[in-house]
Amino acid sequence: MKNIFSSKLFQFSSIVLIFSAFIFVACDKSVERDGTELDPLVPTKVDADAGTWKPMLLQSATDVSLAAPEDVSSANYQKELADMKTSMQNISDDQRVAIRYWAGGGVLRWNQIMRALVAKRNLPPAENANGEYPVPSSASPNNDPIFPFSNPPYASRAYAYVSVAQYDALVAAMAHKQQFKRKAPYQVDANITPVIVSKSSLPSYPSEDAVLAGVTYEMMKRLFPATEDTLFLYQKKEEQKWYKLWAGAATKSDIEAGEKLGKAIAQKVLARFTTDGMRNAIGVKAQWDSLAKRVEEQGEVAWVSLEDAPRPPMLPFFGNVKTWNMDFATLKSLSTQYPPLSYKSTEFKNQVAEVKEYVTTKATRENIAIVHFWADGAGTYTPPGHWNAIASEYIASEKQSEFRAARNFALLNTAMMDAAISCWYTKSYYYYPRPSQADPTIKTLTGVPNFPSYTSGHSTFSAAAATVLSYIFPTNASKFDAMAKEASISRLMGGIHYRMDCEYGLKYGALVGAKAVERGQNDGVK
Amino acid sequence: MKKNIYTIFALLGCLCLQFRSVAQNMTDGIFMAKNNFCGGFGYTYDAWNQYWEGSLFRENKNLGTVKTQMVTAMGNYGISDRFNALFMLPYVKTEATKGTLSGMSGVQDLTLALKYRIAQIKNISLIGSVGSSIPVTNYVADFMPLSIGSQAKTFFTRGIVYYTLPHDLAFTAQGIYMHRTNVRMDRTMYYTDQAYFTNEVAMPNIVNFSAKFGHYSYRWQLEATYEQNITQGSIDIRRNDMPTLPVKMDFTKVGFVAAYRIPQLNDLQVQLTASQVVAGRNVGKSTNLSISILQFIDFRRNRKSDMPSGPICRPGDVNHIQMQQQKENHEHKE
Repeated sequence: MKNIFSSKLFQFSSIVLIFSAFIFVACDKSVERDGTELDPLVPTKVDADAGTWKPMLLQSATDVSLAAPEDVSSANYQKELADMKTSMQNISDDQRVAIRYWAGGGVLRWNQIMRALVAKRNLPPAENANGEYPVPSSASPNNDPIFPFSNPPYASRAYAYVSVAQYDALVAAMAHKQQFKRKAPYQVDANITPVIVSKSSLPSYPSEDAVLAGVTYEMMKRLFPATEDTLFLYQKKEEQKWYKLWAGAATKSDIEAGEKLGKAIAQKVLARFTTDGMRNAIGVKAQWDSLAKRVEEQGEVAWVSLEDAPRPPMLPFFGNVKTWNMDFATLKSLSTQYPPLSYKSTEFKNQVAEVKEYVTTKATRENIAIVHFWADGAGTYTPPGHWNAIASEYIASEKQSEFRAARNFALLNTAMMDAAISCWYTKSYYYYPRPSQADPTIKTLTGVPNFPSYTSGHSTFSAAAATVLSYIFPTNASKFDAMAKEASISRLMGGIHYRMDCEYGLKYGALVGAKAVERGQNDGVK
Repeated sequence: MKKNIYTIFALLGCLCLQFRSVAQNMTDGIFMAKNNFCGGFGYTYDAWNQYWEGSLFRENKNLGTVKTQMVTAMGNYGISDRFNALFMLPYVKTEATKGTLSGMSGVQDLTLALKYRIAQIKNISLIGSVGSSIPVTNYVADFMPLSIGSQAKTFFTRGIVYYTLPHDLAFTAQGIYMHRTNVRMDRTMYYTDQAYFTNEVAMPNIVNFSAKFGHYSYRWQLEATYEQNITQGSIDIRRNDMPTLPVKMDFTKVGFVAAYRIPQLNDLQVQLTASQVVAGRNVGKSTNLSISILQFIDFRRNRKSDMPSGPICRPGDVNHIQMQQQKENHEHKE
């Protein structure tokens, strides 16, 4: 019998198979969803009373005044309306893409943009030839290392300031909307049907999208001043500012007034931003040494950098930055009420042994998955970014209005910046060594952060975030609590924290979160 | 939002391709004769203490030397003299000599391939091969450079040109196009060319060429090797960042392969390979050494049949082993 494998038919089919495999593999590579997908926002509640909510920094909602708009019957307005219609008729594909993008919700979009930029810039500077680590400079942001190094404290501050500025600006926008009650184009002219976006019942002047674009861009270009980032932000700002005009839902004067208001409110927020103590958060070598000396004088062991060359601690004086939801005296006493175990105690030795166990016999695949799910290390949006991502899902699925979304992000992000301040205060106060310093045989399942161990930043951020989110979405409180606990224990599983760091981190975080909840209970939001 | 992402895991690409130096039969022009099986184990040691971060050549004092050791089981079965089935399965162990990061270990990906001699034109064999690899354990992929693999399934198609020359010289060239499936990581965001808020990573495909030239006889082998790997896309490790799975890993590697069949041990083959990465992008400048031991098993029912072939089947030379044995006997008598 003739061997089938030597037949001409088989030869032919094998050639066909090989060539078809080439065609099969040559197709385009991509992921189907990058996680930024949002349905067009039609809020379940319009929050027309948002102008009465209490702003965070403004004295009042109408602190920044706005000139009254021209009447819709005026010749100028009628011309604007005609121009808008022309623009709608000539709508481009790019404009449609932009409308679809921003219709998902401006607050959610800017939150995504900010998380992406934090991840982009969350890279520790490389050491130079002298074994020193150059500090990124906002004065020359494009030079290596590019400014900023958006590490967790930096990121928490970025998320907080942008959220606060957006919240105050939207409260002001609503107050002025209700003050002037100018109709939207489709209310003036029934023949206008907006493209993609829904018809809002709210007054149109000033445009809340332009307010949001103006205030956010002014804040973010200071947080991410590298030319590449600022150009990208400018493009996004312009898109958001104009998309309602392209869509037939706002006129030029609605938009221009909005951007002006947004920019003016950003200046008020920036006055606090530039004087909140961040510039002193790095410190100098003599100050770092004094942190260690203080601990050693008490007979304890001080933290040292485990990196080669040794890297200065990450923002050791971030604990002195101005807080949002409590005063500095409260912060200090809150953040030192639970001291760590003594380095010489038997209990501490047991905790070191437990860490070793987690990275050896207990390093199961399931545990490593938990470690990596919550690691949020270099090159990511950091733990505060992770909690913003979690909050975004709930805010999107509840279809919260822009106003409510901004308020909830402001509560969440001020809580997490306060958590960073509190935790960094605790860290520098106790200056506690990491597990791999206590026992160099501990090999970790994620990178060892370059700052003291007690308490765990992840635990503090997570408990603060879970406390705030449980207040905002009470039916999901048990889920948030479980997530915070998992994020916390992940640091022990990864071999970079002791159990005490995690457990007391959760306690501190809950206390900090409760201060933000207090604010939320008194800001007039129902 | 559809976006191309082009990247791959720097070390892993190396690892995948380094297997080839162990499982030589996947890439060369030699076939097992019908009903013959050749199987064995290989041990590989690979180390680097400098790497290319994109195009920047650097060291990392917090990694020291990254060492990878592998034990690979492999086999090659002759369905016919010109049609073979092959497999290999490695166990991989990694460690870094400095810093705090933990090494990893585990059984990695099972590779299966079919290899067919499409045509024989005088002394030139034209060979085609198709195959696939699948991860056999749920090892951690997203822990570069210490993870043991990428968790991508691959489908590959390969062409081999094998040219036998006088004086037991041989030249082999092969090219492979490897498709890789998307991978899901434990984390839910990563940044490469943009931020992705998903655990899914698109793995760029790989093109690889290699060639070798030197002495090949039944008893001895000594050949110089050259290899060029190109990962599609353009994603580099960012400045001072950790590598991510879809980084563009390119390298040029040179080395040699030497082998001997020990007559006293029933022609057990001992094979040594050594190679050095001489240029690269997003890969370690690694030195790679391997040793493998391979044994033939003849499953033919009737060994005294009219087919005078031995276990090794070279084109135009199906009775190569007999000739070799005759030659050796002749020399012995003298």
